[in-house]
Amino acid sequence: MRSRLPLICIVALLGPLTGAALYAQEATWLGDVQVAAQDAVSSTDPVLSSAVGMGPGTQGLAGVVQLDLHGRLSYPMGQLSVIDAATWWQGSDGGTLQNDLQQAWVSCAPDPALTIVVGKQRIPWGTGYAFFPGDRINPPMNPQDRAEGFYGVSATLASSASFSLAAVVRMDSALAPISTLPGLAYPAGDGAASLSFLAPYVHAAPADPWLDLRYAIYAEAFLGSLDLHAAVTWQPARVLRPTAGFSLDVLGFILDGSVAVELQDRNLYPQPDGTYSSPAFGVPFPAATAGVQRTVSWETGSFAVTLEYLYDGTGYDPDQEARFLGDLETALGAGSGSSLAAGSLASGAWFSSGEIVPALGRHYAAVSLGASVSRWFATDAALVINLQDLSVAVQADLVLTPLDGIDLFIRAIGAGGPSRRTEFASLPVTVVATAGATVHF
Amino acid sequence: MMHYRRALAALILITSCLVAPVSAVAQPPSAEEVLRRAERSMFPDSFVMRATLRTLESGTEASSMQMDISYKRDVGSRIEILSPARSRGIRLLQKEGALWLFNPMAGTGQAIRLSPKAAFQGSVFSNRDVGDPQYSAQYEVTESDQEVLDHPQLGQVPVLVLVAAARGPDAAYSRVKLFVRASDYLLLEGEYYAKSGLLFKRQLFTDIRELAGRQRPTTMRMVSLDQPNRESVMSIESLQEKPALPDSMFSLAALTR
Repeated sequence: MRSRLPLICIVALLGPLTGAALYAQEATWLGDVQVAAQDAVSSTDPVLSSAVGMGPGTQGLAGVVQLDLHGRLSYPMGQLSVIDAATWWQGSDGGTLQNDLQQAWVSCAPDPALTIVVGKQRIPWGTGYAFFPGDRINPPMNPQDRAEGFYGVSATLASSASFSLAAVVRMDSALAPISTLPGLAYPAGDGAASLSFLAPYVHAAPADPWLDLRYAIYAEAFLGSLDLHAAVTWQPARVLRPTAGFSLDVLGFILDGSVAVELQDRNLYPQPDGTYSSPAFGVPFPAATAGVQRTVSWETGSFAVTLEYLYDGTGYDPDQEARFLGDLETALGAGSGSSLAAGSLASGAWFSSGEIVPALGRHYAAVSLGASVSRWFATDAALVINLQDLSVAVQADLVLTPLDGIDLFIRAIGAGGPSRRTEFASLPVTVVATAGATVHF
Repeated sequence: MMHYRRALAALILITSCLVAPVSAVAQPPSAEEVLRRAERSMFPDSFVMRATLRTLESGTEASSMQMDISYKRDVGSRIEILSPARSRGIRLLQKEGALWLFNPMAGTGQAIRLSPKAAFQGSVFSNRDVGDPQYSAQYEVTESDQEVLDHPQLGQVPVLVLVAAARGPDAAYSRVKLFVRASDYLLLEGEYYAKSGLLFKRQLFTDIRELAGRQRPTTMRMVSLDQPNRESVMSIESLQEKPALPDSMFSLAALTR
């Protein structure tokens, strides 16, 4: 998972990789260095802003230097791949160096149709753009807006270009307690365990290591222009979620949809008596998505729009959501809430421009607009709306590309809602503005 | 008598073996066969190629992109962009009427599906122009004719002219008109029409030289007639025939690895 490592650890990672590269048939290194200034504005609510150590409505200026590196070494029998990000952050409270090893795996192909991958990895899952309710194998975006992998083994059989079958065993799924919150139902360490008012209801992780393993079978078939997938994820006493979905090109409009049902939901739900509890095994919690994507291009540029809707039955209904946010506010006000949890709410997956992970509610919509004029600039905006409480999180980017290999960018992230007890309005940070340059190599 | 019958049967057999190929040669190939031979004059059925795509505006280079393209007939194509640094590592997978894009630096770890009819990376070429050279799968010949083409490298060349209509809505163009050298079915020029019937792109195939076992054009110049000052030029740097490319490398699972 994420770790704060000194520079020597990054060197220790790159050293062996450089050595391995000497024996590779083909070595590919690519990435970028980003230098930026970031200004964050905290919530005007004193309780929420205190969760991230800021006064109400105040600004915090920081400098950020970030290195993203992707290395791929090819050998006669397989590959070695590493995706790593190192961020040096300098704020008013001093500087930190943080390293995110997103993926690091080796693959072996005993047959051209069979690939076995061991290590920290992600597997391609789903046919949508923003929401993947059937995916309970890949972790969601981390608070740094990066897609981390899971530790495990996968075997993918691609018997033809149009059919593939993957079997996955995830081995790191026991790092969190069993009961979690909607949207944080992954063993990321930032979930329910750190919210002290929920601690009495959270079950400890199972002691039996065999119960810690999570399994998935994922099949994908391509028929004409119809892309189909079906999968099931299972972990004893934790997850049982079959899912299926499709995407289809209809006159340039890419339609997508998926359905999933969770039969072993371990989320904690507020009860009328003031406690929290998880539902019994076998109670079905359905989820579904529907979306459309359209790209219009011309010789000098393009414009793309994506719309996607999510119904997630494992989320809270309006009463449950208001109740949870009220409990969170009370806990933070009393000093018994966790700033770690609140911090993850502030900077986490809600602001993701790629995979958008819904959180507390049941009905969401994602809207993405992007335009580019080749050679000069690209701009895009992504919006996530909690349709239940009408709160909104939005991210907008403008990237100028005057020179080969160098981007100048401005990014604004904002969140708000009709009242404080709505999902996105309850975040400790309401606006983050970033400006900087990216050098690609 | 028996010997006579055997001798006669042998004579008929030998004669038919000799005559059959002669009559086959004498029969000109059908227009569809000419189209198939023309696309094979461009590329083998299965290959790996490195190419550079430059887009020029008023004669000035607006962008340049180097890429590796792997292709297998009736299976699909896979493109990996090598430069510029901003796009390096981006991979595209195209099969039948579908296109996926995977950017390893995007952070999502997920390929996204796009429309294959859109322009390829801001160039005058469409995605299908770059990723799918199989005209016969996308277009059906409706007319054929003969004329003499004025080619900038070869001069006056007798050509077969094939007019072909899109087989379905997935094709990049509504209609194409291809000029194929009559002597060896080498594709020399293409005209591309919109649904309205408007000619809006023209492609010229030049720099013919020995590549992967036969004479092939190594430069494709696509001109936009909407914007006469804008053109894209694809130059083949290397082309290797690879009959053993596994089908699995054109799967979505392989795209993100």
